[in-house]
Amino acid sequence: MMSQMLQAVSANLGAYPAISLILFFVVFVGMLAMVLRMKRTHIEHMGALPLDNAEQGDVTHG
Amino acid sequence: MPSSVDTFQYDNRIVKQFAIASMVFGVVGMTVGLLVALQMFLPQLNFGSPFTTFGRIRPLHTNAVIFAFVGNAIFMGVYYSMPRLLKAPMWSKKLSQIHFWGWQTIILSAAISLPLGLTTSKEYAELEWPIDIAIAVIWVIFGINMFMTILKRRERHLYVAIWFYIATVVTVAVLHVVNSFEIPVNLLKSYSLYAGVQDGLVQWWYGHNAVAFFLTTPYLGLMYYFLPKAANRPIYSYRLSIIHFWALIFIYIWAGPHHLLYSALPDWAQSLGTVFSIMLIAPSWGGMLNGLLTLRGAWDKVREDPVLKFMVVAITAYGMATLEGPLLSLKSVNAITHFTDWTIAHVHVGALGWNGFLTFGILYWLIPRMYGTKLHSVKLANAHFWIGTLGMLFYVIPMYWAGLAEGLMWKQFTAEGFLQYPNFLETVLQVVPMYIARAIGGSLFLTGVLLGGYNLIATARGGKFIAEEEASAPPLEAQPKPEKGGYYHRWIERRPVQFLLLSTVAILIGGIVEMVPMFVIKSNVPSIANVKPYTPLEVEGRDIYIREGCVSCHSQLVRPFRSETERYGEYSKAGEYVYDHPFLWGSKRTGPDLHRIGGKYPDAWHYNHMLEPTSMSPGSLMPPFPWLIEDELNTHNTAAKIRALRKVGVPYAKDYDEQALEDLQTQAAAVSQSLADQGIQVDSDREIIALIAYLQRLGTDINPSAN
Ligand code: HEC
Repeated sequence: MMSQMLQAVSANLGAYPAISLILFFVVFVGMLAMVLRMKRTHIEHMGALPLDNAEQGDVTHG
Repeated sequence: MPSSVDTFQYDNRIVKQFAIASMVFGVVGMTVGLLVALQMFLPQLNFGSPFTTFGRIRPLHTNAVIFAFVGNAIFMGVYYSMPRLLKAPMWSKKLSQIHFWGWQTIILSAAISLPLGLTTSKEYAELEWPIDIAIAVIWVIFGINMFMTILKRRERHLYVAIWFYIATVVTVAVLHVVNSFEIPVNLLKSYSLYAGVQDGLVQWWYGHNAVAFFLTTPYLGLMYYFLPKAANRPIYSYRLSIIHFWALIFIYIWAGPHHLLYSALPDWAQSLGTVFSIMLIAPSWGGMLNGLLTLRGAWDKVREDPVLKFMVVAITAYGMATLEGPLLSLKSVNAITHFTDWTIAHVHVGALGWNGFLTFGILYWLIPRMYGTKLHSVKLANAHFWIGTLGMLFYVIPMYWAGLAEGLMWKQFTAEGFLQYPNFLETVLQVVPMYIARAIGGSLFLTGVLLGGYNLIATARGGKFIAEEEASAPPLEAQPKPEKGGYYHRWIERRPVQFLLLSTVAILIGGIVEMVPMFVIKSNVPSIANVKPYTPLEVEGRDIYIREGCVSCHSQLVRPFRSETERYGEYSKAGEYVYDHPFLWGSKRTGPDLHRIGGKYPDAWHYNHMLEPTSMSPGSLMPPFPWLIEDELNTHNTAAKIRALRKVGVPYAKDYDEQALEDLQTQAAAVSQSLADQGIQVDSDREIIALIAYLQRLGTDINPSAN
């Protein structure tokens, strides 16, 4: 049953490249839009996360 | 709100444990690598013993470097950076310890089982099924510890490094499980569930993505944490890092088939691999530039600080390898470079440059801080940097040269239309000087590592280990609630569970698109009526071939080029491999392809050649296999093997396992008789008999007259 279904789905292999391309395009553009709409203050907060805590054993930066 | 600030401790002990393990196994893995490099031009160094022969030692080298050196370094970096980014100690120290000791036990069992010849032969997945299960268990323990820590965090938003870690844990789990489906014969032996073309596709979907999600994404996470730390400034563009992440994990998974260009894999799957490989350049270079630009205006610091120097070269190597990879997936380039030493150069830019140098950079930053002291000697670290860089160049340049030379020589025709180098061995002997240069490069690199090890030990000796590091932060509940809704990415950044699901979907799509048609559409593997299952004796011979790692030097895949059909015979068809559990296409030709070896030489030739390759091919660099002639063939498992193969779909008759041994003996007697006719006396119960039977069968099904 399952394999019959899959067979039906993939019988039309010609659509594969088109489907992949559209899928990729949608995901990519969606992500870009999302990223570009992020707020500056938030970006700065995120970027600073690794620098939040000083190492106890750090003797170089004082 | 001072009343609602939690204080807690970060566990540095686990970080230290993984750091030590990484360095120790780094030295071991690279030393074994040096031995294999030497064996390639000094066959005496195989020492005539099965346990030290190239085919068994090479996987030891690759596994040690990937899973022991790099693996332990990943865990070191994750256990250090993750708690600090989440402002929460690891959820369970006990699980951390189980993870550590479990992982080292797995490494140890690999170090024992691989030289014993216990292998599935699938690259970077060689370990047999009980170890596979142990890996899955330990990996899940790591995942649980990590995820619980994330849930208990005191920082609402997950930094990009954490995403890379999450994607790593999820994807490696999926890859490992899917590629390890196998039916056990007994505790030490199993057959891949998949056969031939399908096995090849699954294996390289795995192999490619193991590079992506074991050697790349966790290291990118480390880069996004430790580079800002070492440079003491935030990453150049946080936006770019988000794009880097999503594009990378979404695209990477599709590109696996580029390892199988011109193979018997259907064309559409090959093209898919090429297209997505090219697209990969964009996120990879985005990531590289993001790393390098972080240092803009700080290059004076780079000149002084060995930590940054190591990181800069590492990131540059990442850029080089990720540009080269897509180029190698262009069919026209691949036609020349595939199966040659070019591949070896490519992976070492990644392993020595990207993984190696980033690891050393992090260690030089981390160890002094965990011991509350300064680096013992900056001068020595600089020396390590220069020797390492030189070693890397001495390694990769000769290998590129060798690869190109091999690719061209294999394809070279004379004006009369004959192969210029009909004797394959000639093309091998031509590149021996390059092999020697490579061994020198490897020794230099290893020397650097030893200097580094000494420097780090001296640093530790000069300080006092800070086992627990105090920290404090307000709990999440006490922090102001984020405003509702808002921008999507902020939303996902604070929802680890949804994030996990989304990234899983992203990686599954590519895998499914690749695999489903391959498994459901019969026409992708056109069947060939003449192709029959192996006889019991041939099955045993094939298992010897697997055990001895012949696949690390010999391909079984004649590509459809005139230069190959001229040299080897008819090109390989997908339908010829339907009973190959596992597939044995190989990835490197140090010796000639063997898919059409059946019937090429008399039995006696193989006997003499396996005993002492130079007796048949003067100057041969193939290791001798004298034990095959002395050792008795173990037939205790023959019936079980037939049953296991039946389970994975090989159409032996229902009760054939009961008759298998008898058939095996009959065929063995015939091979022994044929050898006797050619003047060689050898008992029919020796291993060599089975191996010869297998070699003589190879690739003959489509051409019955060869038998
Ligand atoms: C270190 C790499 C290496 C390994 C491992 C290796 N070989 Fe070879 N093999 C070679 C080289 C190089 C040649 C070409 C020179 C020669 O004929 O000996 C060769 C040639 C051959 C040939 C002759 C092919 C021909 O067409 O002339 C056969 C058969 C063969 N090997 C079988 C095996 C088997 C079986 C194993 C495993 C038990 C094995 N080899 C392992 C490197 C290797």
